[in-house]
Amino acid sequence: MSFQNPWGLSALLLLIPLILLYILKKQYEDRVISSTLLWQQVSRELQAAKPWQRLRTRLMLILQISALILFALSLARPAYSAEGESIYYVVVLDTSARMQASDVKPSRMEAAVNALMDFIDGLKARDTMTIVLAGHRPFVLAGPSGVKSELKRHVRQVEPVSGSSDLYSAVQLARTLLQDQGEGAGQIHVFSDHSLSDSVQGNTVFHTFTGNGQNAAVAHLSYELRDGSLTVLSRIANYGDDRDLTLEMKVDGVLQNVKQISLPAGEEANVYWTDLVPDSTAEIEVSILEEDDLMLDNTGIIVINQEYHGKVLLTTERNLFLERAVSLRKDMELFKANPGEILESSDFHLYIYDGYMPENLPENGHIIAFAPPSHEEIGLVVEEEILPEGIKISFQSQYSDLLQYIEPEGYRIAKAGKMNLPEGFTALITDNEGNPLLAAGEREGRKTALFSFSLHDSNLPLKPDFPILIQNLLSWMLPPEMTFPGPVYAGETVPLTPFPDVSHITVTSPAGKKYRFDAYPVPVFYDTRDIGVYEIVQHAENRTYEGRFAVSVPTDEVSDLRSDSPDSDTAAREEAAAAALPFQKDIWMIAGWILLLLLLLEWQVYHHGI
Amino acid sequence: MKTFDPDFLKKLERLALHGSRLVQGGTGGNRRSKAKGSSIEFSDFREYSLGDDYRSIDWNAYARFERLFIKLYMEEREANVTVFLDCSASMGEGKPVKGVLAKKLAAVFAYIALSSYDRVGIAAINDKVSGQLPYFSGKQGFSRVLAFLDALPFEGRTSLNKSIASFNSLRGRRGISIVLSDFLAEDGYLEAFKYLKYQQQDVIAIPILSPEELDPPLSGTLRLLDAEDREGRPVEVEITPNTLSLYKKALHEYFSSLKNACMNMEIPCIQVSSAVSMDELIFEKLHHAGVIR
Repeated sequence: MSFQNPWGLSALLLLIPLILLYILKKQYEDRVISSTLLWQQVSRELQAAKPWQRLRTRLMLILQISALILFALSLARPAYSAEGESIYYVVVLDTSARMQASDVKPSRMEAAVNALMDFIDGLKARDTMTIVLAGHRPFVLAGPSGVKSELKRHVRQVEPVSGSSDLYSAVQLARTLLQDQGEGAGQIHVFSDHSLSDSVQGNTVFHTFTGNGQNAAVAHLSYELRDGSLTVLSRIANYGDDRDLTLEMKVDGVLQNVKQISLPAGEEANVYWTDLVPDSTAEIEVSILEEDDLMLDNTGIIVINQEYHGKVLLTTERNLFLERAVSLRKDMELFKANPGEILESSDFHLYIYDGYMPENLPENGHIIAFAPPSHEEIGLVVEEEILPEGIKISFQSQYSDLLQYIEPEGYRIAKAGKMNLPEGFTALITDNEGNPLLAAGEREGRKTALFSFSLHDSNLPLKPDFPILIQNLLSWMLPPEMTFPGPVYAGETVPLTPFPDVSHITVTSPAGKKYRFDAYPVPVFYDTRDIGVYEIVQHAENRTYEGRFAVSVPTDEVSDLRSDSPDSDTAAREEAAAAALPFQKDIWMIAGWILLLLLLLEWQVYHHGI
Repeated sequence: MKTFDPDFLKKLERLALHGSRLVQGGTGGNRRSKAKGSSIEFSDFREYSLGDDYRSIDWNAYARFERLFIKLYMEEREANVTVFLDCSASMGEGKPVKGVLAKKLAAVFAYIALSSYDRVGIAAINDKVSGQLPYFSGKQGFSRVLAFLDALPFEGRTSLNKSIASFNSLRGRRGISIVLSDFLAEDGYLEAFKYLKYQQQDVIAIPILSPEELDPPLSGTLRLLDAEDREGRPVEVEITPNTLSLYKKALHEYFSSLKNACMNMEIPCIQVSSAVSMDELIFEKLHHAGVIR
């Protein structure tokens, strides 16, 4: 037995005045009549019938009390499940960042958890419950179980996330769970700070915990690197009443600037932070200093990715194979030049020479050379032309990573220059006589790879290994940087695309928690619950690739705490509550009919003494 | 309180128009003599009419004229008519007041009696004889009746037995005694009736009750005070349909008992409501009951 309107039972308070009316001494009203002769006789007869009168009085009292109890029961709308039938509850607990708001004391989340605890306490012996958490993705926290202590233990461990919640998907999951349960009584109870109007159907009851919170948020952060200067744009949103806000900006944790703005209710303002030095900046943090009902979104962090220097100059008369192999790296900007052509800009990070090398090499930049002539600056001496026979690979050198996934069997090289390698260079591929065909070396920070043959004299470009070899060289010289598409919001997943030579990846959260993933299959980082900067390190055998990304609060979805936001549809919530308990039989009509019968009986007793 | 308004007096005049026939017809019935006139002075003859006592037929006259005549006697015509009017406090209650109807009835009976050459006396009673209009005859004295009745207050307790027994003016002379009361007396009425019978009276009992007594419009929890003894023991009662039912049952039993007693003593008993109209009372109730013809 349960009550759909427990407040109706408050009508039982009427029992007090009813009983008092019977207990209190009767107040007689004096009335003069011509003679009491006959009334004395009536009185004597009444006295004679007093035992029956008392019984009748008691009977009327009992009938009236019964009628009042039934009236209260009718108001409370009692409903019952079939005897012995258990109820299967699927509970959805919203854990979005908005549930951290303190406009409901101590917080929306704690209020919801406390209510859920009480709900679990109210389970009957044969009832079972499954708890679904509505975070960024819904998942089953516990159950189905009828063990209250186990359910409560799981609930106690629930913490709100920093992102939004997909309540709709969670409710759909709950419905699926309920349908999987099969026939029988079942209900869905959603503990959240809002309800879903489009899910007002079936047996879903929303328990909402919402106030009318005051909140301001750093809604957006972005930056622009131009002409050596860094400008940061911060957008501040006020989801409460008119207020003055104090903003502070930190660069790599050091306070740089403070601004004050006035924001009308419901408005947003763009605040620019200029005159920042880009080279020394890794991350920028903008904070609202005033306290409000949701502090989580008062700080925004952005990671500054330095401008990537992936400019490559390819000097060749014509080499389509090489051009295409190089252009596979999308993060590079490829420039082409003819041998001897002098470009104004020398600010390239990699120079690829095909059958040509300038006498004076550029000051900076790595070098890949095909069929190079002797070069004094490098210390390369190319003697007579040779006809290489056979191919040998040396995996013993420190540059063996450059030959990863390379299988040189089947390589044919028509002719090559006999290279006497300068000091510090290592032959990676040689012919059977040990003449180096590919050598690599590093001197004064300049990485150099030397092919002793021209691609035109080889079948290497026709082999599938060719682009791999070129990419290996490019990765060695210009390691790719990790990029992340757009801002990352708390709760979202981040694909950790590994570079080819990476064996495993580690991620360090802002709280210092470390995660380790194997490079393959490609991992996805999902634990973005903390707001702040995450550090990613991809580990290869001899080197590491480092990257960073910032996780922020999805302010568009969680920062507006106002109860008149569209999701807070009170009417829909009430309809949902009214539509609840479809598996229970409403018996207030029965109570109403019995009440009517009792009133008729009471009338009969009053008027006819029977 | 002015008991006799112009309307009432006008009705009495109307009675007078029809009164003679009625009175003439009535002498043979109400005031017949068991002594058959042996010691009674002969007065007159009158032709027999339906309802007359055939024992009064003068068979000698029938032999001579072949028509039926009855003999009239002086004593019969001058019988004493005594009206006992209950003037206790209870008669002052009711809407309309019971005592008003009683006074009007007393006046009616007095008028009829005076019209038929009877001697009329009125006794106002409660638990004693509180006032008395000595016997007299002649219609011209009717105004004395009205004046006497109009001046009577309603006070004191009812005791028909005591008050009638203390009325000494009957002196054993045959006559007619009319008792106008609500008959709600704790000591009853039987002793009074017996006394009147002993005094050779033809008694007419007219219990008068108010509409409130016939069907009490009461509700709630009441302390009922007796109009004749407000300091006495009240009756505390919760008015319910059941209580009202019990009251009506008691009322019915009480007046059934009264009527039975009257029947046993050959006393006409006509129960009336104080709300009844004079026309209905005189020309229907009293006439049908044979009190007035």
